[in-house]
Amino acid sequence: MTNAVNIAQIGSTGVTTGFKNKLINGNFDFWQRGTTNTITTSGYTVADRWQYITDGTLSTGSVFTQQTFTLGQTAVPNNPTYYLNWQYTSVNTPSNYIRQRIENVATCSGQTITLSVWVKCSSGTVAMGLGYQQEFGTGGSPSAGYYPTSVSFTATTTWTQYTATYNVASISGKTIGTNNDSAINIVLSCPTSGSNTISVSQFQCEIGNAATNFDIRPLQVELALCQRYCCVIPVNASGIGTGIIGPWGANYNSTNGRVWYSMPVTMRTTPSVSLTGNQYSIIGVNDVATGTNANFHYSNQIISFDGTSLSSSSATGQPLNYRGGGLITAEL
Amino acid sequence: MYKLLKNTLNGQIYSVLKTDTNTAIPFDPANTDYQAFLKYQAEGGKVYGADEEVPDGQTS
Repeated sequence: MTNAVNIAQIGSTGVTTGFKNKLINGNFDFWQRGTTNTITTSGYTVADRWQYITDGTLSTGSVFTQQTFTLGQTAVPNNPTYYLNWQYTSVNTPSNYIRQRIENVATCSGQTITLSVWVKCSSGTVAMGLGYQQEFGTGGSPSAGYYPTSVSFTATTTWTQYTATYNVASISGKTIGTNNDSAINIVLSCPTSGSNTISVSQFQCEIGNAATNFDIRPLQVELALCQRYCCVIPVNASGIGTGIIGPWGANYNSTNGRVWYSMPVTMRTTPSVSLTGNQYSIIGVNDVATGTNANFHYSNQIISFDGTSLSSSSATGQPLNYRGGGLITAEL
Repeated sequence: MYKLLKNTLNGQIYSVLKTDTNTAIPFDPANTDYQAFLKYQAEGGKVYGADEEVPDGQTS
């Protein structure tokens, strides 16, 4: 009987644990690409999982930054550590919004969802919007996307929670593309002209017709969720790969070597790889040999690449590691 | 700007490099960088061959 009561309580609007928040990094804790990101065009230039969208080109001075709450503040509940600052300058573009693409357009379809977010602006007031979009992916003949009108609100200079409840459209009769990249997007829009700085905290998308407490998950869980889409090859303060979990390998002849890197989690799909350096440590031979990065091999769990034409010769089988950083992405 | 990548061991084209971000992109239809490359190519964008030099400073 007791168990039955407990089960009945799961999923009720009062439950505050688990994965009720469909958004990842809604607390803006993780910024693997950097905590200050200048924006000029659309792209993943925000915090992890968040994408900026514009149809135009922004003026310089538009930037996303991670900000730290004053310890013990009570304006935003639950003691969040960070929030997002979105500074935009001289915007003159048909669209100006951030969004998170949640995998699989079937997510929440035919259900009632409530979006909630804490927002303030740096001066005056700002007309903003909260909404969702359904996109059916690419490949084959997917249905056209559905972009309902957002719920409008006016942000002020005081932290305020804004909510919007939607009956998400059913996808019955729709066709999803064959590339496994359909999504429901949760959108926070800004004006398409003017300048201001918008602060954003505790963004949530949950099933139900009312906003409930923010879903605080363990940080290691939240990071792992982010890493399905983006992870980094870490570097130390000098910009040199740590060499601890960085790509390691061996020479396969005198001047060419191959290194491997295991991602911390399985990624959404075969990732892209951006390397920031071209130095390799050939153990016992040269700590700072240079080479040309080549011959990438990709999988959802492990990547490998070669350092070719290395500046120091060594024996076949000599251990080496890549000394630079990198960004590995499999975003939607 | 994109440049095809050739495997130095067997000579096969296996990937494409987005040169302004130094991003190696796999030929995977589910990879959104690859989708962007296909769109760029379909719109007539220049794609450099694996053995071609990309002019310094050229990004698009």
